[in-house]
Amino acid sequence: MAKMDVREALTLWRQAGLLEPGKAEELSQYLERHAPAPGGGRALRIFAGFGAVLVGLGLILFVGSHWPGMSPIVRILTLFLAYGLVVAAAWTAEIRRYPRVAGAMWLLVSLVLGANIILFGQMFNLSLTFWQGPLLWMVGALALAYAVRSRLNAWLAVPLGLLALGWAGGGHGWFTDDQWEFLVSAEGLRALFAAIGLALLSIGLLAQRSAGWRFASGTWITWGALIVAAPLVLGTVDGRVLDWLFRMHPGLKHWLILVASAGLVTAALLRASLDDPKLSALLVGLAIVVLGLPLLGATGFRAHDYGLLFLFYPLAIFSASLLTVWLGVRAQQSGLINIGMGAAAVVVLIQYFSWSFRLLDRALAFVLGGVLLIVLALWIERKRRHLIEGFAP
Amino acid sequence: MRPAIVFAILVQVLIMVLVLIPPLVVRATGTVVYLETEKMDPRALFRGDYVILGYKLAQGILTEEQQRDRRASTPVYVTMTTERPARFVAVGFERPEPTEGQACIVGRIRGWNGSVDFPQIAQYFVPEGTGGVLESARGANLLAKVAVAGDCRAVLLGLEPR
Repeated sequence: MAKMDVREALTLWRQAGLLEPGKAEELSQYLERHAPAPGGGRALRIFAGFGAVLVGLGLILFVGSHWPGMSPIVRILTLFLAYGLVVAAAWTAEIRRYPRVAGAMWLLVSLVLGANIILFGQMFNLSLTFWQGPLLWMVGALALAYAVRSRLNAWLAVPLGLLALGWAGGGHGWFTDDQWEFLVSAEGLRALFAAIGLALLSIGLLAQRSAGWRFASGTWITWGALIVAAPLVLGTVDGRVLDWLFRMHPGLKHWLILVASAGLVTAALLRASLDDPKLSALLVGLAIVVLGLPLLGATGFRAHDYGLLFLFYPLAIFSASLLTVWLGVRAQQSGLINIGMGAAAVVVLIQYFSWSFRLLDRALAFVLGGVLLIVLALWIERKRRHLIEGFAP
Repeated sequence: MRPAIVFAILVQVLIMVLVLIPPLVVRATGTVVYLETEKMDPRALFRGDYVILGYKLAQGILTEEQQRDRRASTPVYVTMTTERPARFVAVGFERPEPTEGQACIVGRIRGWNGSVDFPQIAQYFVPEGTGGVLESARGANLLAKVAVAGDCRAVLLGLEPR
């Protein structure tokens, strides 16, 4: 019998009509997750991925530092040539059946695409907050992610989307710090990160229903949960911090993001495979909180003025963190378990440091804080291992 | 190569071409104007050194009424002559139809002193370490060579002594 890899065999069976396309994709995804990797698989993937990032950075720096000696046409040709060479290398790794190296090389293809977009921007003196750049880069990364079922490319698309969203219509883009204004200003995305994370989480849930995008669902759900969790957990520090995080001076972009986020949650509730009503209820509850907080922030509501009400907030976020762990166990997503446990631990630590310095002697507060950290680390490691080991083979 | 991969590569190549075409078209077909620069400020960044440019003819040109009607995101159109250096002709919120010997650039309002910024030609990237030299030539001694399209889009071609 001829030797062939699983992907080729699945294609053959699909073409022969022996296998439904959806089933073939499901089998491929299952194998990708659960097939035992040959020795050193994970280390190989890390080395190859890290190598791809280093080559990408080196290319940008090399070409960038040699600009003065080149005419615009030579520069453009050089960049296209570099792109062509990397595509050829990725394809060669793919057909020679080095899947991990090929995976890293496909990531490098998208990194070189981004480098080229940035360098074209430099060549024509385009603004630093040239938002079309990351948007187009994201589209390119998504196209390649879909074509080669690359989780790395799907991962890359998320920060690029955030950058495009943040730069679109905002910031001056003159100085270095202007480029990051969207992260911290009330006119930027500061109040909307949780809503954007919720939208991403919903896209991840919807992707589970799509044979072509199922490979990316775990990546996007994890990214989404992380982006939702970060501001909500940070807000447990103090009522003033929560107010600052969700204070918003809304413009058209902000309303569009909120509406899109609500629409995606609704789509996820209607179309995604949320077979458990508790899961739907959790998503609805999360939507009410992350869409409601910026709306309250826009009306001038201050949580700090309602001290007693704020006491319940850390408790609610702690409960939500534990629910995220439960969700991770149900969906067999170790990323969600990590985020849930990490968020719960940070909430406990924040509460400890908020109260201990007021109630205890400083030296005792530090000692007990250290003990708490060690106990938390032990609990997380033990519980996490136990939960992940319980995943279906 | 699998069709999906070929398609994805074509999408990526198309994206690079899409980024290139608009500035190349403006460079090739646009009217060249020379603008007196107002200020320069070198900064080192990941993309290399760049200088920040303001333009003399765009300072304090909006009337009080125009400033009252201001909306931050509203485009502002500045019409100028194609002389070397260019002279200010008019400013408004509607796209003008420049006559012979005139060109227009789209910008946006800056602050409350009636000035206009041109974000698309506000940054000029220079080889590493040369920003400081250009900074010393700040002001009206240095002209910005700009290609301007009929729809008021602009591409910064270079800097020249007056």
